[in-house]
Order: sequence, then C-alpha cells, then structure tokens
Amino acid sequence: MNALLLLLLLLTALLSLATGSSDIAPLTGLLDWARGVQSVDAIVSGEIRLPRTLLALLVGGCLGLSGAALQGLLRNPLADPGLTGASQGAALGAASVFYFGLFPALGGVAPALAGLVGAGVALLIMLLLAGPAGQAMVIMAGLAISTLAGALLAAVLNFAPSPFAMQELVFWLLGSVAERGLDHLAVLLPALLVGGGLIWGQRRLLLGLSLGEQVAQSMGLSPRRGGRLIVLGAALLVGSSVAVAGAIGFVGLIVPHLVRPWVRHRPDRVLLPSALLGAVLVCLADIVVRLQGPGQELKLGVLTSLIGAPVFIWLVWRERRRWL
Amino acid sequence: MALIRVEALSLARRLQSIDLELQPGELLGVIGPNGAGKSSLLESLAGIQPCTGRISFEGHDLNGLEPLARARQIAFLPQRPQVAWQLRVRDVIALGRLPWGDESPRIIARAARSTGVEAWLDVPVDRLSGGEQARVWLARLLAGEPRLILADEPLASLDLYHQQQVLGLLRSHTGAGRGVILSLHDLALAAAWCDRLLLLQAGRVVALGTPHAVLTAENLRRVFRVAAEIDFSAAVPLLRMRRREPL
Repeated sequence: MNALLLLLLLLTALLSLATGSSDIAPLTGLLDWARGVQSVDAIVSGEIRLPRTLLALLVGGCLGLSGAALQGLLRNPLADPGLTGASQGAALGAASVFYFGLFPALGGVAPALAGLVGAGVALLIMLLLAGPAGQAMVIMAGLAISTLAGALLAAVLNFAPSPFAMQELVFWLLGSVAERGLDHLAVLLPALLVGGGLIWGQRRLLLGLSLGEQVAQSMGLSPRRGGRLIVLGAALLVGSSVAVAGAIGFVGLIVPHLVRPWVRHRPDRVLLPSALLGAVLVCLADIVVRLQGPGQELKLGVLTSLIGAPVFIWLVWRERRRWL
Repeated sequence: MALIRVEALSLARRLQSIDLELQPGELLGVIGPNGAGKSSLLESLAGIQPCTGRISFEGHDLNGLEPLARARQIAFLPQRPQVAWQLRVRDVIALGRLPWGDESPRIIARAARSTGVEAWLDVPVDRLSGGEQARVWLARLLAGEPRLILADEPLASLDLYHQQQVLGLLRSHTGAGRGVILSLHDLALAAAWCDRLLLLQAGRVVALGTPHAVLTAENLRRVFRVAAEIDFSAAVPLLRMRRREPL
C-alpha cells in the first residue's frame, strides 16, 4: 500500500514538473539547474515548478497526516484538523502581514512566518483554555479560539487599508501554492518533521484509543499526555501549511477515509498512507489549477473544497445510515 | 505469596479503606448493589483511578512499576467494551499485545482458539452478536498473557449460555498461578463459580470470604434490601426469593 502510494507520488511529482504554460524539458532543466547552468529550462524547472511541486506535496502531506491523527485521537471520522484553532490562527497571522505590512525585510516569506506565529499563539491559548480536561474539551477550546481568530480575521478584512490589500488578502486566503519559492519550504519542512514526529511517536496510543481512554490507560498508555502531543503535532502541521499556502479545505478530512479500508481501519496504520495520498491529491489538484492557463484561474483551495465538500456530504450520508 | 494485596485503598467519596488479598489460582467475585464501588475498585486496581493506599503485586509496590510493565501483569475489561472504527476481530485481539509492543501471530491465534473465535478473525467485530463479542473481548485480554484479569461485569447483557461460557474461560485462566477478579450481579452465579466473594456497600467492605460465609440471608437483607437466601444444598447454588417486592 505504502509502496504503491510512494510510486504514485513520484509519478504525480514528475507530471507536475512537466505541467505548465511553457514547453520545456523538465528533467534536463532540473539537471541544468542543479549544475548551475543558466537556461530557460533550468529556471522554469528549478525555480518555478520544483518549489511549487514540493510545496504542494508537503502541504498535502501535512494536511493528510494531521487529519488522520486527529480523527484517530477523537475516534471521530468527521473531525477536521482545523478544529484545533491553528488554521484560523495562521490565517489571522498571515492576514496581519498584509494589513500592517509587518516584517518587510522578510519579503515573500513574511506571511508564512507570521502565519506560523499566529498558529502558535492560537495553539497556546487553546491549550491554556482547555486545561487538564479531556480530548472533548480540547476541541471545544479549539473551536472557541478558531471562532475568535475568525472574528478578528473578519475585522482585518473589514478595515483593509485599500481594495488592493483586501484583494491580495482574499486571494491568499483562498489557498494556493503558486508564486512561492524554496524559502517557503524552510518554513514547512521543519514543521512537518517535528509535527509528524510527535504524531508518529504516539501511534500506539492511537491504536489503543480505539478501545476507549480507560482501556488505553489500563494498557499502560497515557491518553492525556499523548493526546496533547498529538494535538500539538496536528496543529503544527495544519498551522504551517495554512501559513504557507492559505486554506486548502477538506484534504485532511477526506483523505483518511479513502485510506482506511486499505489498512483494515487501524488508526495507527492510517497515518503514513494518509500523508502520502494527501500529498498526491493536493499536487494533482494543483496540476488541474495550472492546466486552466493564465487569467481568471480557480484557486487551489477553492478547487479542493469544490471536490471535497460533496465527498464530505456523501460521508455524512453514509455515517447517518450506519446509525439508523 | 499473594498475587495482589490491597491495603487501605481509598478513592475520594467512592471507596473507603479497602483491604483485600488474592491468592494465585483464585477467582474472586466482587458483589454489591449499584453504586457500591465495584467498578471504582476494579478501575483503581487497573491504574485508571487515582486512589490512595498501598497495592502490591507479588510483593512489589504497584506504583513503583512502569505503566507498561504493570499492564503486562494486569489486564482490564471495562463494563461496556466498545471499539471505534470497524476493526476486525484479529486486530482487536492484537490490541492485547500493545503493552508488549509486538503482535505475535502465534499468541493471537492461541487466544482466538481458547475463546473459540478463530472462525471470525477477519470479520469486523461490530458485526458480531453481543455474546460473540464478549468472547472477542476476553481473547483480547488473554493475548496479553496477564497474571491477573480484572473484569467489570463481563456477564452483563449476556444470555445464560454465554454467561456460563465467559465464566468458564475466566475460571480456566486462574490455572498456573494466575488470578481473576470480576464484578457481577448474579448472586447464584457468584456462589457457583467464585472461590471467594467481596461484598461492598457504599464504598466499604461488608464481608469477604467464601460464598457460603458472605451470602447469608442477613447480608442479602441488609445490603441488597431483599428477602432472599442462597440454597447451597442444590446441585448448583440457587437464589430463592422469600418475597416478590423489595424490603
């Protein structure tokens, strides 16, 4: 399963490198770029398509993994990684950059870094608010912080200094991996490593929790502490991906469902394939975005939501039938 | 040496200074009316409730054991077992190996065989009947090869056949120096199957001893508020009610 997904991921990456408005030889271009040869192929492949491809893969991986982890932790197949409050916090952080013009020295990476700070602050307040209570309270606290950050975000939009700033902000919020460089990877990659590591370390807890918190505890696991680490990891993943690429909806929610039947519904084995499939799907969606050509193009986050929302409705329908 | 020894175990407002000892090979039944503290006691022994007092396992302080080491010795079956996700029987049994960090196919197969669930290994557990599920939950416990099983009302909502079957499996686990503590409401079954009974009321021990010594008409009247007696002269102990209404 994982090997198959890895192969699919590789093929998608190659397809992504070959897709774009200009007709170039992507592999030759990449080799030239790596050798420092200044050719059109090298610049297009290495400086435009490579970062875009890698970002799409990493963002998708972050979203898929965080969704699988949170659904496992909450034992709820309808849990969304945005429930931690981190994604709205990240959006608010990044929006503040557009509004106040913060960190001008950082250039294009400023929204991403501010987004990461926003996600971190939202997470900290959420954990303080939840206190020592159980997982359900963490999510209520996450929802509260998410709502607060959403309200502040609306206020920022409301008082946007100019129509251009507002348009820039709205487009950014719609989600995209275009026009970003390798320096954005420097924000995303550490978050993926740390957040993914935190979650990976708790996969036995995720498995044990399928029999409930009490049984998990009787099996020598620590649901409270481990649960916090999973929330922290998921928030890092989703916060950093929102910070870098804006809101890309429904990936974290849907991907674990597609994977589950292949891993016999085991919450510990769903993690890695969810990350891989998330990466593949976001990269494929971004290829579709690029095929539209220049002009009024559909943003990546809008596309994933347009595809994801009907799938989500179908999932709710299926879950409802199970409970009837 | 006692398998487990409990001294002055207390849990805020639920258990008060419980003393208890379980010898290897013993099946101990915990009985008492609703709210007596049966579940609280089992959960305290399983390390789920933050209790005070001293619990030693084969002479070692239980609090000094690492949680995983403790879980390898003591397995806990909750009152209403449930499983999220559509896990298959094989994976539910494998969960019993979590404290050991392996999923030994040999041990899982043995646990499935001894509980008679090997035919359903690849069936999602939520498709089984309540009685069939009860055997899967036990297989999960057995896969962990614990020295002590704590089972909280494992007979609830089971028919007569499955009640006997579960009790038979628990009884057979007490061989080879292992032990079982279970809570139950059926006093006739408690008298028939348990070596000793612990009678609880409002978080205190009322009586601890052989079924004969604990299930007296006086205890049934005082603790359970019914006029009844256990007829130990029958081939299998029998609960005989003297009045239909409670006292």
